[in-house]
Amino acid sequence: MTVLSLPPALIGTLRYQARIAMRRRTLWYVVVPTALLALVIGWRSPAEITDGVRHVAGATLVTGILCTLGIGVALADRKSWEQSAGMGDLIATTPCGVHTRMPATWAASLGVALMPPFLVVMVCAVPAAVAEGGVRPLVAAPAAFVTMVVPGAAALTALACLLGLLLPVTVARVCTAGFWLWSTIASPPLLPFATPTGTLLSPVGGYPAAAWFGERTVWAHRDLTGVLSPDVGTGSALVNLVVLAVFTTLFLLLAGLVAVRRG
Amino acid sequence: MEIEIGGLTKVFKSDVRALDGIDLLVPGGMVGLLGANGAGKSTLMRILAGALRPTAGRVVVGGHDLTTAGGRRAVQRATGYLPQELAPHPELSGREFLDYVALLKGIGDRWTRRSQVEDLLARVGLADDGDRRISEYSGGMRRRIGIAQSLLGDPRLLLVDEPASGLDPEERMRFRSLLTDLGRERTVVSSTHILDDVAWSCPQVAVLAAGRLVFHGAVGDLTAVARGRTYEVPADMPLGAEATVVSTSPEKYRVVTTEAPPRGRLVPPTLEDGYIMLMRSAR
Repeated sequence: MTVLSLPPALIGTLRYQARIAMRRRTLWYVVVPTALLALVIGWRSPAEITDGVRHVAGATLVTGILCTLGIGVALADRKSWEQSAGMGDLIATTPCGVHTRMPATWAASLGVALMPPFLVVMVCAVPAAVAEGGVRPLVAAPAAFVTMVVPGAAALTALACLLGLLLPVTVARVCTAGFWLWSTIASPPLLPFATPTGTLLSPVGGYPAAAWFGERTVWAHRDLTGVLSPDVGTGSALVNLVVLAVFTTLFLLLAGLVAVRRG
Repeated sequence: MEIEIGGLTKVFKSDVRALDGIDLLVPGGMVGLLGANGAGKSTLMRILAGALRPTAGRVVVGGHDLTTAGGRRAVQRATGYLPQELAPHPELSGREFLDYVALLKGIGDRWTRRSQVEDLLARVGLADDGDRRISEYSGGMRRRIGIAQSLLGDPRLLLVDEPASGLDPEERMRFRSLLTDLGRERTVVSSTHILDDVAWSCPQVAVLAAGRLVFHGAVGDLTAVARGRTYEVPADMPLGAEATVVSTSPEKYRVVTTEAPPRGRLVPPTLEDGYIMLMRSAR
Protein backbone atom coordinates (compact mmCIF):
# COMPACT_ATOMS: atom_id res chain seq x y z
CA MET A 1 0.00 0.00 0.00
CA THR A 2 1.42 3.40 -0.94
CA VAL A 3 0.96 6.61 0.98
CA LEU A 4 -1.33 7.84 -1.78
CA SER A 5 -3.74 4.96 -1.31
CA LEU A 6 -4.13 5.52 2.45
CA PRO A 7 -7.42 7.09 3.53
CA PRO A 8 -7.19 10.91 3.59
CA ALA A 9 -8.28 11.00 7.23
CA LEU A 10 -5.39 8.73 8.22
CA ILE A 11 -2.87 10.81 6.27
CA GLY A 12 -4.28 14.01 7.76
CA THR A 13 -4.22 12.71 11.31
CA LEU A 14 -0.67 11.37 11.02
CA ARG A 15 0.65 14.51 9.32
CA TYR A 16 -0.98 17.13 11.47
CA GLN A 17 -0.89 15.34 14.82
CA ALA A 18 2.86 14.91 14.26
CA ARG A 19 3.16 18.65 13.57
CA ILE A 20 1.09 19.46 16.64
CA ALA A 21 3.28 17.22 18.77
CA MET A 22 6.44 18.73 17.30
CA ARG A 23 5.26 22.26 18.12
CA ARG A 24 4.08 21.54 21.66
CA ARG A 25 6.64 22.92 24.06
CA THR A 26 5.53 20.75 26.98
CA LEU A 27 6.71 17.67 25.11
CA TRP A 28 10.20 19.05 24.61
CA TYR A 29 10.39 20.48 28.15
CA VAL A 30 10.10 16.91 29.42
CA VAL A 31 11.69 14.77 26.71
CA VAL A 32 14.80 16.84 25.96
CA PRO A 33 16.06 16.97 29.58
CA THR A 34 15.47 13.24 30.06
CA ALA A 35 17.24 12.56 26.76
CA LEU A 36 20.18 14.71 27.82
CA LEU A 37 20.32 12.94 31.17
CA ALA A 38 20.28 9.60 29.35
CA LEU A 39 23.12 10.81 27.16
CA VAL A 40 25.18 11.85 30.16
CA ILE A 41 24.60 8.48 31.85
CA GLY A 42 24.98 6.38 28.71
CA TRP A 43 27.99 8.13 27.21
CA ARG A 44 31.36 6.35 27.34
CA SER A 45 34.61 7.24 25.63
CA PRO A 46 35.90 4.66 23.12
CA ALA A 47 38.62 3.67 25.59
CA GLU A 48 36.00 2.58 28.17
CA ILE A 49 34.10 0.36 25.73
CA THR A 50 35.05 -3.30 25.44
CA ASP A 51 31.95 -4.67 23.70
CA GLY A 52 30.36 -2.12 21.32
CA VAL A 53 26.97 -3.79 20.88
CA ARG A 54 26.60 -4.47 24.58
CA HIS A 55 27.44 -0.83 25.29
CA VAL A 56 24.73 0.22 22.83
CA ALA A 57 22.23 -2.06 24.58
CA GLY A 58 23.13 -0.60 27.97
CA ALA A 59 22.77 2.96 26.70
CA THR A 60 19.47 2.06 25.04
CA LEU A 61 18.19 0.56 28.29
CA VAL A 62 18.97 3.73 30.26
CA THR A 63 17.56 5.93 27.48
CA GLY A 64 14.39 3.87 27.34
CA ILE A 65 13.80 4.00 31.09
CA LEU A 66 14.35 7.75 31.36
CA CYS A 67 12.86 9.01 28.10
CA THR A 68 9.81 6.76 28.08
CA LEU A 69 8.89 8.13 31.49
CA GLY A 70 9.08 11.67 30.09
CA ILE A 71 7.19 10.78 26.92
CA GLY A 72 4.42 8.99 28.79
CA VAL A 73 3.95 11.87 31.19
CA ALA A 74 4.02 14.46 28.42
CA LEU A 75 1.58 12.63 26.15
CA ALA A 76 -0.98 11.86 28.85
CA ASP A 77 -2.90 14.93 27.72
CA ARG A 78 -3.07 14.23 23.99
CA LYS A 79 -6.52 12.73 23.72
CA SER A 80 -8.17 14.64 26.50
CA TRP A 81 -7.00 17.83 24.81
CA GLU A 82 -8.72 16.82 21.61
CA GLN A 83 -11.92 16.05 23.51
CA SER A 84 -12.18 19.58 24.85
CA ALA A 85 -13.14 22.96 23.43
CA GLY A 86 -15.32 21.73 20.60
CA MET A 87 -12.56 19.86 18.76
CA GLY A 88 -13.90 16.49 19.89
CA ASP A 89 -17.36 17.38 18.57
CA LEU A 90 -15.95 18.75 15.35
CA ILE A 91 -13.81 15.71 14.66
CA ALA A 92 -16.62 13.37 15.69
CA THR A 93 -18.82 14.89 12.99
CA THR A 94 -16.36 14.03 10.23
CA PRO A 95 -16.66 10.63 8.55
CA CYS A 96 -13.28 9.68 10.08
CA GLY A 97 -13.94 7.03 12.73
CA VAL A 98 -12.42 7.01 16.19
CA HIS A 99 -10.64 3.73 15.42
CA THR A 100 -8.67 5.53 12.70
CA ARG A 101 -8.10 8.75 14.60
CA MET A 102 -7.09 7.28 17.92
CA PRO A 103 -4.20 5.05 16.77
CA ALA A 104 -3.06 7.61 14.19
CA THR A 105 -2.95 10.40 16.77
CA TRP A 106 -1.12 8.17 19.19
CA ALA A 107 1.37 6.92 16.58
CA ALA A 108 2.09 10.41 15.23
CA SER A 109 2.82 11.96 18.61
CA LEU A 110 4.78 8.93 19.79
CA GLY A 111 6.87 8.98 16.60
CA VAL A 112 7.80 12.61 17.17
CA ALA A 113 8.49 12.12 20.88
CA LEU A 114 10.82 9.19 20.19
CA MET A 115 13.17 11.27 18.03
CA PRO A 116 15.35 12.65 20.89
CA PRO A 117 15.90 9.23 22.52
CA PHE A 118 16.68 7.76 19.12
CA LEU A 119 19.32 10.45 18.60
CA VAL A 120 20.78 9.69 22.04
CA VAL A 121 21.08 5.99 21.23
CA MET A 122 22.72 6.76 17.88
CA VAL A 123 25.13 9.21 19.48
CA CYS A 124 26.06 6.64 22.13
CA ALA A 125 26.77 4.15 19.33
CA VAL A 126 29.43 6.40 17.78
CA PRO A 127 32.19 5.87 20.39
CA ALA A 128 31.31 2.15 20.38
CA ALA A 129 31.86 2.08 16.62
CA VAL A 130 35.16 3.90 17.08
CA ALA A 131 36.22 1.44 19.79
CA GLU A 132 35.34 -1.55 17.61
CA GLY A 133 36.63 0.01 14.43
CA GLY A 134 33.46 -1.12 12.62
CA VAL A 135 29.83 -0.21 12.00
CA ARG A 136 28.31 -3.07 14.03
CA PRO A 137 27.26 -0.80 16.95
CA LEU A 138 25.77 1.72 14.52
CA VAL A 139 23.65 -1.05 12.97
CA ALA A 140 22.76 -2.47 16.36
CA ALA A 141 21.65 0.91 17.71
CA PRO A 142 18.43 1.29 15.62
CA ALA A 143 17.66 -2.41 16.12
CA ALA A 144 18.09 -2.05 19.88
CA PHE A 145 15.97 1.09 19.85
CA VAL A 146 13.14 -0.59 17.94
CA THR A 147 13.11 -3.73 20.09
CA MET A 148 13.93 -2.25 23.50
CA VAL A 149 12.51 1.29 23.61
CA VAL A 150 9.64 1.43 21.10
CA PRO A 151 7.51 -1.46 22.50
CA GLY A 152 7.62 -0.17 26.09
CA ALA A 153 7.06 3.42 24.99
CA ALA A 154 4.15 2.32 22.83
CA ALA A 155 2.52 0.46 25.72
CA LEU A 156 3.07 3.30 28.21
CA THR A 157 1.81 6.05 25.88
CA ALA A 158 -1.24 3.95 24.97
CA LEU A 159 -1.94 3.59 28.69
CA ALA A 160 -1.35 7.32 29.16
CA CYS A 161 -3.81 7.98 26.35
CA LEU A 162 -6.45 5.88 28.13
CA LEU A 163 -5.75 7.44 31.53
CA GLY A 164 -5.92 10.90 29.97
CA LEU A 165 -9.49 10.15 28.93
CA LEU A 166 -10.54 8.72 32.27
CA LEU A 167 -8.80 11.03 34.73
CA PRO A 168 -7.90 14.68 35.09
CA VAL A 169 -4.69 15.31 33.13
CA THR A 170 -2.50 15.89 36.20
CA VAL A 171 -3.71 12.69 37.85
CA ALA A 172 -3.22 10.83 34.56
CA ARG A 173 0.38 12.07 34.40
CA VAL A 174 1.06 11.01 37.98
CA CYS A 175 -0.50 7.58 37.40
CA THR A 176 1.49 7.14 34.19
CA ALA A 177 4.74 8.00 35.95
CA GLY A 178 3.85 5.73 38.87
CA PHE A 179 3.04 2.85 36.56
CA TRP A 180 6.32 3.24 34.67
CA LEU A 181 8.43 3.41 37.81
CA TRP A 182 6.62 0.39 39.28
CA SER A 183 7.09 -1.61 36.11
CA THR A 184 10.71 -0.73 35.40
CA ILE A 185 12.65 0.56 38.38
CA ALA A 186 11.07 -1.37 41.23
CA SER A 187 13.09 -4.48 41.95
CA PRO A 188 11.09 -7.53 43.08
CA PRO A 189 13.43 -8.59 45.94
CA LEU A 190 13.32 -5.14 47.50
CA LEU A 191 9.57 -4.59 47.42
CA PRO A 192 6.75 -6.24 49.36
CA PHE A 193 4.56 -6.42 46.26
CA ALA A 194 4.81 -7.93 42.79
CA THR A 195 6.24 -5.98 39.87
CA PRO A 196 6.66 -6.93 36.22
CA THR A 197 10.42 -6.44 36.48
CA GLY A 198 12.31 -9.42 35.13
CA THR A 199 9.18 -11.01 33.66
CA LEU A 200 7.76 -11.29 30.17
CA LEU A 201 5.41 -8.45 31.12
CA SER A 202 8.27 -6.02 31.65
CA PRO A 203 8.20 -3.01 29.29
CA VAL A 204 11.84 -2.11 29.93
CA GLY A 205 13.33 -4.17 27.09
CA GLY A 206 15.34 -6.52 29.30
CA TYR A 207 14.59 -9.71 27.36
CA PRO A 208 15.53 -8.28 23.92
CA ALA A 209 18.59 -6.62 25.50
CA ALA A 210 19.83 -9.89 26.97
CA ALA A 211 18.78 -12.13 24.08
CA TRP A 212 19.94 -10.10 21.11
CA PHE A 213 22.47 -7.54 22.32
CA GLY A 214 24.40 -9.40 25.01
CA GLU A 215 23.35 -7.16 27.89
CA ARG A 216 23.77 -9.01 31.20
CA THR A 217 22.89 -6.40 33.81
CA VAL A 218 19.14 -6.75 33.45
CA TRP A 219 16.58 -8.48 35.68
CA ALA A 220 15.52 -10.70 32.81
CA HIS A 221 18.90 -12.35 33.05
CA ARG A 222 18.93 -12.90 36.80
CA ASP A 223 17.75 -15.76 38.90
CA LEU A 224 14.04 -15.10 38.76
CA THR A 225 11.85 -18.16 38.46
CA GLY A 226 8.31 -18.82 37.43
CA VAL A 227 6.28 -19.09 34.26
CA LEU A 228 6.55 -15.38 33.62
CA SER A 229 10.36 -15.36 33.98
CA PRO A 230 11.63 -17.95 31.50
CA ASP A 231 15.24 -18.22 30.40
CA VAL A 232 16.55 -15.52 28.15
CA GLY A 233 16.42 -16.41 24.46
CA THR A 234 14.97 -15.36 21.15
CA GLY A 235 11.66 -17.05 21.94
CA SER A 236 11.18 -15.33 25.30
CA ALA A 237 12.28 -11.99 23.82
CA LEU A 238 9.70 -12.35 21.06
CA VAL A 239 7.02 -13.29 23.58
CA ASN A 240 7.93 -10.18 25.57
CA LEU A 241 7.44 -8.02 22.44
CA VAL A 242 4.12 -9.71 21.63
CA VAL A 243 2.89 -9.17 25.20
CA LEU A 244 3.71 -5.48 24.96
CA ALA A 245 2.01 -5.23 21.56
CA VAL A 246 -1.10 -6.87 23.03
CA PHE A 247 -1.14 -4.43 25.95
CA THR A 248 -0.68 -1.51 23.57
CA THR A 249 -3.57 -2.66 21.39
CA LEU A 250 -5.75 -3.29 24.41
CA PHE A 251 -5.11 0.16 25.89
CA LEU A 252 -5.81 1.82 22.53
CA LEU A 253 -9.00 -0.17 22.05
CA LEU A 254 -10.18 0.78 25.53
CA ALA A 255 -9.31 4.41 24.86
CA GLY A 256 -11.31 4.20 21.63
CA LEU A 257 -14.29 2.72 23.48
CA VAL A 258 -14.13 5.47 26.10
CA ALA A 259 -13.98 8.11 23.37
CA VAL A 260 -16.95 6.56 21.56
CA ARG A 261 -18.99 6.33 24.76
CA ARG A 262 -18.31 9.96 25.48
CA GLY A 263 -19.62 10.89 22.03
CA MET B 1 -31.86 18.62 2.32
CA GLU B 2 -34.91 17.78 4.38
CA ILE B 3 -34.64 17.25 8.13
CA GLU B 4 -37.33 15.16 9.77
CA ILE B 5 -37.28 14.82 13.54
CA GLY B 6 -39.82 12.71 15.43
CA GLY B 7 -40.11 12.25 19.19
CA LEU B 8 -36.48 13.23 19.70
CA THR B 9 -35.41 12.90 23.32
CA LYS B 10 -32.00 13.23 24.90
CA VAL B 11 -31.47 12.47 28.57
CA PHE B 12 -27.94 12.87 29.88
CA LYS B 13 -26.44 10.64 32.55
CA SER B 14 -27.10 13.31 35.14
CA ASP B 15 -30.83 12.78 34.41
CA VAL B 16 -31.00 16.14 32.71
CA ARG B 17 -33.67 15.93 29.99
CA ALA B 18 -32.06 18.21 27.40
CA LEU B 19 -34.58 17.38 24.66
CA ASP B 20 -38.08 16.15 25.34
CA GLY B 21 -40.03 14.72 22.43
CA ILE B 22 -39.10 17.16 19.68
CA ASP B 23 -41.08 16.89 16.43
CA LEU B 24 -39.82 19.10 13.64
CA LEU B 25 -39.82 19.09 9.86
CA VAL B 26 -37.41 21.38 8.02
CA PRO B 27 -37.97 21.10 4.27
CA GLY B 28 -34.76 22.98 3.45
CA GLY B 29 -33.49 26.56 3.29
CA MET B 30 -32.38 28.51 6.28
CA VAL B 31 -33.85 28.02 9.71
CA GLY B 32 -33.03 29.93 12.88
CA LEU B 33 -32.99 27.98 16.13
CA LEU B 34 -33.83 30.14 19.13
CA GLY B 35 -34.11 29.50 22.84
CA ALA B 36 -32.76 30.55 26.20
CA ASN B 37 -29.49 29.14 27.56
CA GLY B 38 -30.03 25.49 28.44
CA ALA B 39 -33.09 25.18 26.19
CA GLY B 40 -31.47 22.31 24.26
CA LYS B 41 -30.32 24.12 21.12
CA SER B 42 -26.71 22.89 21.21
CA THR B 43 -27.83 19.36 22.08
CA LEU B 44 -30.12 19.34 19.05
CA MET B 45 -27.30 20.70 16.86
CA ARG B 46 -24.88 18.06 18.13
CA ILE B 47 -27.37 15.30 17.42
CA LEU B 48 -28.00 16.64 13.91
CA ALA B 49 -24.25 16.77 13.33
CA GLY B 50 -23.86 13.17 14.45
CA ALA B 51 -21.67 14.07 17.43
CA LEU B 52 -24.24 12.90 19.98
CA ARG B 53 -26.66 9.96 19.98
CA PRO B 54 -30.27 10.58 20.93
CA THR B 55 -31.84 8.66 23.81
CA ALA B 56 -35.03 8.12 21.84
CA GLY B 57 -36.72 9.29 18.69
CA ARG B 58 -35.95 9.46 15.02
CA VAL B 59 -33.84 11.90 13.02
CA VAL B 60 -33.80 11.56 9.24
CA VAL B 61 -31.61 13.92 7.24
CA GLY B 62 -31.81 13.83 3.47
CA GLY B 63 -33.37 10.37 3.68
CA HIS B 64 -30.63 8.98 5.97
CA ASP B 65 -31.53 7.81 9.47
CA LEU B 66 -29.07 9.39 11.90
CA THR B 67 -29.71 6.74 14.52
CA THR B 68 -27.97 4.12 12.36
CA ALA B 69 -24.21 4.00 11.81
CA GLY B 70 -24.56 3.98 8.03
CA GLY B 71 -27.02 6.85 8.07
CA ARG B 72 -24.81 8.86 10.37
CA ARG B 73 -21.80 8.43 8.08
CA ALA B 74 -23.85 9.45 5.03
CA VAL B 75 -25.10 12.58 6.79
CA GLN B 76 -21.63 13.44 8.10
CA ARG B 77 -20.26 13.39 4.55
CA ALA B 78 -22.80 16.05 3.58
CA THR B 79 -22.65 18.17 6.73
CA GLY B 80 -20.60 21.14 7.84
CA TYR B 81 -20.68 21.88 11.55
CA LEU B 82 -19.53 24.80 13.65
CA PRO B 83 -19.67 23.96 17.38
CA GLN B 84 -20.71 26.61 19.88
CA GLU B 85 -17.22 26.73 21.31
CA LEU B 86 -14.32 25.80 19.13
CA ALA B 87 -10.66 26.13 20.05
CA PRO B 88 -8.80 24.93 16.95
CA HIS B 89 -5.34 23.43 17.46
CA PRO B 90 -3.24 26.49 18.42
CA GLU B 91 -0.05 24.83 17.14
CA LEU B 92 -1.30 24.82 13.55
CA SER B 93 -1.62 27.74 11.17
CA GLY B 94 -5.06 28.61 9.84
CA ARG B 95 -4.17 27.10 6.48
CA GLU B 96 -2.88 23.88 8.06
CA PHE B 97 -5.96 23.56 10.25
CA LEU B 98 -8.28 23.84 7.27
CA ASP B 99 -6.19 21.31 5.33
CA TYR B 100 -6.36 18.94 8.32
CA VAL B 101 -10.15 19.20 8.60
CA ALA B 102 -10.46 18.78 4.82
CA LEU B 103 -8.51 15.53 5.06
CA LEU B 104 -10.67 14.36 7.96
CA LYS B 105 -13.70 15.10 5.80
CA GLY B 106 -12.25 12.78 3.19
CA ILE B 107 -11.14 15.36 0.61
CA GLY B 108 -8.17 13.40 -0.66
CA ASP B 109 -7.26 15.28 -3.80
CA ARG B 110 -4.53 17.78 -2.97
CA TRP B 111 -5.56 20.37 -5.58
CA THR B 112 -9.22 20.29 -4.62
CA ARG B 113 -8.24 20.72 -1.00
CA ARG B 114 -5.84 23.54 -1.71
CA SER B 115 -8.33 25.43 -3.85
CA GLN B 116 -11.09 25.06 -1.23
CA VAL B 117 -8.80 26.15 1.60
CA GLU B 118 -7.63 29.25 -0.30
CA ASP B 119 -11.18 30.13 -1.34
CA LEU B 120 -12.49 29.81 2.22
CA LEU B 121 -9.61 31.75 3.74
CA ALA B 122 -10.49 34.57 1.34
CA ARG B 123 -14.22 34.30 2.09
CA VAL B 124 -13.68 34.70 5.83
CA GLY B 125 -11.09 37.45 5.38
CA LEU B 126 -8.07 35.45 6.53
CA ALA B 127 -6.18 35.10 3.25
CA ASP B 128 -3.28 37.21 4.52
CA ASP B 129 -3.20 35.45 7.91
CA GLY B 130 -3.42 31.86 6.72
CA ASP B 131 0.19 31.07 7.62
CA ARG B 132 0.02 32.53 11.12
CA ARG B 133 -0.36 30.11 14.02
CA ILE B 134 -3.90 29.97 15.41
CA SER B 135 -2.41 30.75 18.84
CA GLU B 136 -1.72 34.23 17.45
CA TYR B 137 -5.30 34.75 16.23
CA SER B 138 -7.80 36.99 17.99
CA GLY B 139 -11.09 35.51 19.21
CA GLY B 140 -12.88 36.79 16.10
CA MET B 141 -10.25 35.30 13.79
CA ARG B 142 -10.59 31.93 15.52
CA ARG B 143 -14.34 32.10 15.04
CA ARG B 144 -13.81 32.89 11.37
CA ILE B 145 -11.46 29.95 10.88
CA GLY B 146 -14.14 27.83 12.58
CA ILE B 147 -16.71 29.13 10.12
CA ALA B 148 -14.35 28.39 7.23
CA GLN B 149 -13.86 24.76 8.31
CA SER B 150 -17.61 24.25 8.46
CA LEU B 151 -17.84 25.15 4.76
CA LEU B 152 -15.15 22.69 3.60
CA GLY B 153 -16.45 20.14 1.16
CA ASP B 154 -19.33 22.41 0.13
CA PRO B 155 -21.77 20.73 2.57
CA ARG B 156 -25.45 20.42 1.66
CA LEU B 157 -26.36 20.77 5.33
CA LEU B 158 -24.73 23.47 7.39
CA LEU B 159 -25.14 23.51 11.18
CA VAL B 160 -23.82 26.61 12.88
CA ASP B 161 -24.09 26.98 16.65
CA GLU B 162 -23.86 30.60 17.80
CA PRO B 163 -21.88 31.53 14.70
CA ALA B 164 -21.66 35.22 15.50
CA SER B 165 -20.26 34.90 19.01
CA GLY B 166 -16.91 36.65 19.18
CA LEU B 167 -17.34 38.44 15.86
CA ASP B 168 -17.22 42.22 15.70
CA PRO B 169 -20.24 43.99 14.12
CA GLU B 170 -18.62 44.26 10.70
CA GLU B 171 -17.62 40.58 10.68
CA ARG B 172 -21.10 39.66 11.88
CA MET B 173 -22.73 41.49 8.98
CA ARG B 174 -20.38 39.83 6.53
CA PHE B 175 -21.04 36.39 7.95
CA ARG B 176 -24.79 37.04 7.99
CA SER B 177 -24.65 37.79 4.27
CA LEU B 178 -22.53 34.71 3.66
CA LEU B 179 -25.01 32.50 5.53
CA THR B 180 -27.93 34.01 3.66
CA ASP B 181 -26.20 33.28 0.34
CA LEU B 182 -25.48 29.72 1.43
CA GLY B 183 -29.06 29.21 2.60
CA ARG B 184 -30.34 29.74 -0.95
CA GLU B 185 -28.80 26.50 -2.16
CA ARG B 186 -28.70 24.29 0.92
CA THR B 187 -30.16 23.69 4.34
CA VAL B 188 -28.70 25.89 7.04
CA VAL B 189 -29.62 25.56 10.71
CA SER B 190 -28.32 28.50 12.70
CA SER B 191 -28.62 28.43 16.46
CA THR B 192 -28.30 31.91 17.88
CA HIS B 193 -29.26 34.37 20.58
CA ILE B 194 -29.16 37.28 18.18
CA LEU B 195 -32.75 37.80 17.03
CA ASP B 196 -31.67 40.50 14.61
CA ASP B 197 -29.62 37.91 12.69
CA VAL B 198 -32.61 35.57 12.52
CA ALA B 199 -34.95 38.35 11.39
CA TRP B 200 -32.48 39.32 8.68
CA SER B 201 -31.52 35.95 7.28
CA CYS B 202 -33.91 33.15 8.30
CA PRO B 203 -37.30 32.70 6.67
CA GLN B 204 -38.15 29.97 9.20
CA VAL B 205 -37.58 29.83 12.91
CA ALA B 206 -37.87 27.14 15.57
CA VAL B 207 -37.95 27.98 19.25
CA LEU B 208 -36.98 25.62 22.06
CA ALA B 209 -37.85 26.06 25.72
CA ALA B 210 -36.74 23.58 28.38
CA GLY B 211 -36.10 20.89 25.77
CA ARG B 212 -39.45 21.26 24.04
CA LEU B 213 -40.29 22.78 20.69
CA VAL B 214 -42.63 25.66 21.42
CA PHE B 215 -42.75 27.25 17.99
CA HIS B 216 -41.91 26.43 14.41
CA GLY B 217 -42.94 28.62 11.54
CA ALA B 218 -42.20 31.75 9.59
CA VAL B 219 -40.41 34.65 11.24
CA GLY B 220 -43.48 36.77 10.54
CA ASP B 221 -45.66 34.33 12.48
CA LEU B 222 -43.38 34.51 15.51
CA THR B 223 -43.49 38.28 15.32
CA ALA B 224 -47.28 38.08 15.12
CA VAL B 225 -47.44 36.35 18.54
CA ALA B 226 -47.02 39.83 20.05
CA ARG B 227 -49.41 41.60 17.68
CA GLY B 228 -51.91 43.66 19.67
CA ARG B 229 -49.84 43.05 22.82
CA THR B 230 -46.88 45.37 22.29
CA TYR B 231 -47.04 48.82 23.84
CA GLU B 232 -44.90 51.86 24.43
CA VAL B 233 -45.53 53.28 27.88
CA PRO B 234 -44.22 56.58 29.28
CA ALA B 235 -41.35 55.96 31.68
CA ASP B 236 -43.13 57.70 34.58
CA MET B 237 -46.10 55.30 34.45
CA PRO B 238 -46.15 52.32 36.79
CA LEU B 239 -46.22 48.98 35.02
CA GLY B 240 -48.53 46.13 35.89
CA ALA B 241 -46.99 42.92 37.19
CA GLU B 242 -48.18 41.15 34.04
CA ALA B 243 -46.13 43.35 31.67
CA THR B 244 -42.69 42.27 30.47
CA VAL B 245 -40.27 45.03 29.57
CA VAL B 246 -38.59 44.42 26.22
CA SER B 247 -36.55 47.62 26.08
CA THR B 248 -36.21 50.93 27.85
CA SER B 249 -35.23 54.46 27.01
CA PRO B 250 -35.20 57.56 29.28
CA GLU B 251 -38.69 58.52 28.05
CA LYS B 252 -40.50 55.23 27.61
CA TYR B 253 -40.71 51.48 28.09
CA ARG B 254 -41.49 48.99 25.41
CA VAL B 255 -43.54 46.19 26.92
CA VAL B 256 -45.42 43.08 25.89
CA THR B 257 -48.51 42.36 27.88
CA THR B 258 -51.95 40.84 27.52
CA GLU B 259 -53.51 43.73 29.45
CA ALA B 260 -53.40 47.21 27.90
CA PRO B 261 -51.37 49.43 30.28
CA PRO B 262 -52.63 52.94 31.18
CA ARG B 263 -51.44 55.53 28.62
CA GLY B 264 -49.88 52.65 26.66
CA ARG B 265 -49.63 53.15 22.91
CA LEU B 266 -50.09 50.02 20.81
CA VAL B 267 -47.15 49.61 18.42
CA PRO B 268 -46.29 47.09 15.68
CA PRO B 269 -44.35 44.17 17.18
CA THR B 270 -40.84 43.13 16.26
CA LEU B 271 -39.42 39.60 16.27
CA GLU B 272 -37.98 40.27 19.72
CA ASP B 273 -41.45 41.19 21.04
CA GLY B 274 -42.90 38.03 19.56
CA TYR B 275 -40.12 35.88 20.99
CA ILE B 276 -40.48 37.33 24.49
CA MET B 277 -44.26 36.94 24.39
CA LEU B 278 -43.83 33.31 23.30
CA MET B 279 -41.29 32.57 26.02
CA ARG B 280 -43.63 34.09 28.62
CA SER B 281 -46.44 31.82 27.59
CA ALA B 282 -44.09 28.79 27.40
CA ARG B 283 -43.09 29.16 31.07
